[in-house]
Amino acid sequence: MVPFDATLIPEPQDEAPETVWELTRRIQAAIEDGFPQVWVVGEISNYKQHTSGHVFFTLKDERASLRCVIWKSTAERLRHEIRDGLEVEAKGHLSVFEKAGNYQLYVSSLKPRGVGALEVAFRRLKEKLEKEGLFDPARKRPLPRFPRRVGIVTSPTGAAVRDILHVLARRWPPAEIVLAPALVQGPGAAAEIVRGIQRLNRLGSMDVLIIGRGGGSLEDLWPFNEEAVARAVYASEAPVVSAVGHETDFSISDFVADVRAPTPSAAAEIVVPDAREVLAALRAQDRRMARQVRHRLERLGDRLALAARSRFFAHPEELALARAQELEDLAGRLRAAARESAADRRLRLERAAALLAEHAPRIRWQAAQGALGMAAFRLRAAGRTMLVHRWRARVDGFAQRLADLDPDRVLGRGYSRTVLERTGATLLRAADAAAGDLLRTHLAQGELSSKIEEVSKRQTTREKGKAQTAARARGRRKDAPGPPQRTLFE
Amino acid sequence: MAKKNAAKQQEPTFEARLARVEEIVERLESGEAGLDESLRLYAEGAELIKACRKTLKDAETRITQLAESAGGDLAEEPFEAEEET
Repeated sequence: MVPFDATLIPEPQDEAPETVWELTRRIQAAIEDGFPQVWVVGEISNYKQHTSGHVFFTLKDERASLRCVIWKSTAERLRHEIRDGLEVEAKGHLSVFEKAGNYQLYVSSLKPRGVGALEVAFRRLKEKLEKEGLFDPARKRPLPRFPRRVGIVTSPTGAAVRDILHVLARRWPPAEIVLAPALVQGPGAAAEIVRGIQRLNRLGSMDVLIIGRGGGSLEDLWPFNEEAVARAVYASEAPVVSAVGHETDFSISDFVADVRAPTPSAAAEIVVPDAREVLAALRAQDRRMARQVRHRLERLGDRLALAARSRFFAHPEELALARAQELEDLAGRLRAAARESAADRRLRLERAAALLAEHAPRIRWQAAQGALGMAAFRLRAAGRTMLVHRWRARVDGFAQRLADLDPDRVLGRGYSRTVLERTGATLLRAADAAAGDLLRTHLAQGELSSKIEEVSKRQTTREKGKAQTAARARGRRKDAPGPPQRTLFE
Repeated sequence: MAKKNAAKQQEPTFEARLARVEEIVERLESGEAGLDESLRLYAEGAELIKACRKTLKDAETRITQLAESAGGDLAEEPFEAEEET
């Protein structure tokens, strides 16, 4: 150690000494010029975040330390957690804090030491598995629409499992849920996740699996970037939804899985439908079905009403008359035709007979004449009978169809006729009755007595048509006291 | 466990019921079904919808946790999530 020699201090250039401020500024300039870009590794200590938002800490190694500052705006953008003891790489520039007379690193970026290596490993594994085809979109299976059993691989404690269960229970109560508990960070986690996936598959009848965890740093999420987990997801028979970390975190398991969910809650929403929506859809189907059947019934009612309005209900005798007329017509024509042909034949026969008579005895001619008469008669009889039979068959057919359309027959199909007791008339309009009125209802078999509780004013087409038919029937009964229509065909 | 699964498989699934309802609605809307068939289909559809609604309204989520017994068999035990602290 050299003793201090005052004569060795160089004389200052100027006449007067510098101020502390002036000297400090010179030091600051020298440091700023000399260290504009710095990249340093060290251990964090004395980490402090001020209320102002700025972060202060010291980077140190065994022999030296460096004070560091992170401005609030930069600190907010940091993607990694900072704490004492963490080994980090920092980038920034050096300057001097004049007031305290020390130099500081003004940090522009900060990264935990190991993370670089992790990121490289991530990229490498991603490329390798992608080349092998584990991420192939074609092999991704569709998720079942209404899963009965849902498996979950996650930590049994913490927010992720609570969120998933909460959403599943709210949206789709019928689902059965089986949880395979597993560590989701730290050593051994990857193995537990793999085992969870395999055991759920072994259990069987799983419709879908959810694997995942809540947010964290890259190291925290790392188990879901392990190759073993990726292969277990790929090998899973049940389709897998991967929900790891926050929306911006992408894990290898996300790429291999059949579906990636941005968060655990989102996974639960993807995996089951919303029971409320399904109930609403069922309601809509119900309405459509009812509407269809109602329309069908109304259309049939309209057809019936139309048929009931037909001319032949009002004047069924017209049908018979028309047919009878045709029958007479045809009978007449047949008679004429028979006569003609008979006459024609007779003529020919007479000529032949005349010829014969010249050569044949009188008896034979008489016999021939007799035979002709008989033949002509039989021809007429046969023709008429045949025609009458044919027409009778047709008329019977019409009679049957008419009978089918008979309003009373309709009773057999479930329609009924209701009479208002106090007037004795068939009830056509609900408005003609009042609450409390007594009714008599005629069914296909038997009658009912009832009392009206409530009158609704709405009238359907079917009811309108039926009313008109009944009115016409009433009118006919008044005018024609003779036998009912059906006897025209007997 | 296998018996329970077999019983579940015999009962039509929710999905199967819903698919049949959609079939029925299509058939009814096609207008090809006669009145008798329409009424029968409607009754069937109404029953199915009732069953679906019951499944959704009566259900309570069942949550179990996988546990490995001593013999290495898998068993399901009831699971209770932690309350939020």
